[in-house]
Amino acid sequence: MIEPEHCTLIIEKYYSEIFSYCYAKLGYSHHSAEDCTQEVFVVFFSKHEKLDETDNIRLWLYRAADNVIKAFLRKAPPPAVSLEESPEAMNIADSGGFTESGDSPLDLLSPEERQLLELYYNSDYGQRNEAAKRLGLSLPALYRKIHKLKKKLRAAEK
Amino acid sequence: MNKEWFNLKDISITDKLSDKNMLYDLQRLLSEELAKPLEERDLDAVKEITDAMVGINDEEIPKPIQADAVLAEVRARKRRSRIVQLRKWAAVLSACFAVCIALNFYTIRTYGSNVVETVIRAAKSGFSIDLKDIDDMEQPPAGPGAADTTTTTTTTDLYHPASTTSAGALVTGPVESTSVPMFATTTTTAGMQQPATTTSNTPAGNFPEGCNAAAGPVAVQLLEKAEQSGINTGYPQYLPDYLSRLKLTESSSEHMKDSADLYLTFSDGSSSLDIIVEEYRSQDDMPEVMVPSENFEYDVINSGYAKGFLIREDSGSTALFVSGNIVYTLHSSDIDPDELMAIAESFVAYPSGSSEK
Repeated sequence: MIEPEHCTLIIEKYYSEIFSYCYAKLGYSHHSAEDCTQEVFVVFFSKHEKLDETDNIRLWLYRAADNVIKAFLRKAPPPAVSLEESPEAMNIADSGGFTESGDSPLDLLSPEERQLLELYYNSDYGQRNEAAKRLGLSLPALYRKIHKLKKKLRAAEK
Repeated sequence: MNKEWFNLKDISITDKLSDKNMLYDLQRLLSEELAKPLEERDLDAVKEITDAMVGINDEEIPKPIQADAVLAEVRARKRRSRIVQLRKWAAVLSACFAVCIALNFYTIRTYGSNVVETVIRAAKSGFSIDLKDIDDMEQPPAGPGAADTTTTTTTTDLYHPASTTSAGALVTGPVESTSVPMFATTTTTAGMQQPATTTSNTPAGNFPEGCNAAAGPVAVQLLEKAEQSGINTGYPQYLPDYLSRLKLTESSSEHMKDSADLYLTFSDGSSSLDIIVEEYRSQDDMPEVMVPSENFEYDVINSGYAKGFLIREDSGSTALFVSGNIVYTLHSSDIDPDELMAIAESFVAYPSGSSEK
């Protein structure tokens, strides 16, 4: 049996991970993901007496998340929203172009960061995968870096 | 300023497609990982992919809920559950009684025997259906009139508020293009009785056995996706002619602990048909499911290949039926409930094309 005090630690450890999972599987809906994540942990707490310290808690939580998401979709399927139409997915400011006057925001980037941007824009999916491996990164890690760089440039432009 | 760098800067700041493409690539990676059985998934990879999706969408992860709050909710639910059980016991009994009487009346009239168990029950805002018990309903008698296996029953639910939700899962996976494989073809018509409207002026092409022209492309894509996902499925032999332009718009599959699931959405812009196939490890693993309903109106599906229920709704009906260890859920939008019933009853086994299990 898992003690209630241990449950607190489990929530703190896995909450963000389960939220991200629900978020990805629920069409990037923040509120739906939050609801489902809370439900996963309510289910977890209601079953904690039956669980053992040796159980794979992480796997158990993912399984519970699958079931909660399934039930959620069965009851209230979210409207199909394409990424192009989703403001949550596409909350990217359109800067409306640049003038050549003044310092370039690219000066903010280190040579490595510039190289990374160049690599991203000059390659396709397969090449990016390979390039990420060469850099010792996973593709998600590469994309996160690119996203950060783009945000940095946008912030500088403003 | 270096022109090349200027362009790169310009692109990287204004390019909306870039983030979309990254999310698309990540969804693809996630789908690959989720296609594996749960025990074989690399959860670190899943975490990294989903964390990146959250990051790219500039979302902030909410603070974890407090354990005390969760515990309070668990306690409250247990209390509520006991109170609700007690308070509603009489009401649920009377609702179940009404459903059972109606079903019994129908089965006694049709089969001459009293076979109905509490497979389908009126519950809060819908029907609760125990999937593993559906198969225990008796087969319809063979011979003329065998296809006349449906009845419509309305359950008046006086104590539950109307719900606006509808059943049927939505697929949020990436859109895939599908090439049409060459399935075995035949012009033989299956033994199942089809509605009078099944004839079409368009000749059926290289479609699975017994398919009419409208059902052929849907059956081909259903079988192809199921094959890719390692899921066994039957296929519909009938779709009304006006659905002949349905196209597969979304598909995804998942391997869960107890089941392998396939989700397909077909649409022609106005009508849409979701087909969900869940292949369970065994019938014992099948859950009790809740199908939301406003009208509390259902028909019994009993085609020889599968048994289940059609829940009639104004906004979109749902057919839920079981064949062996396979559960099918059809959810329609802008399709006549009677036509959805005909589609459900036209499902046959693959590759035999038989209406027998």
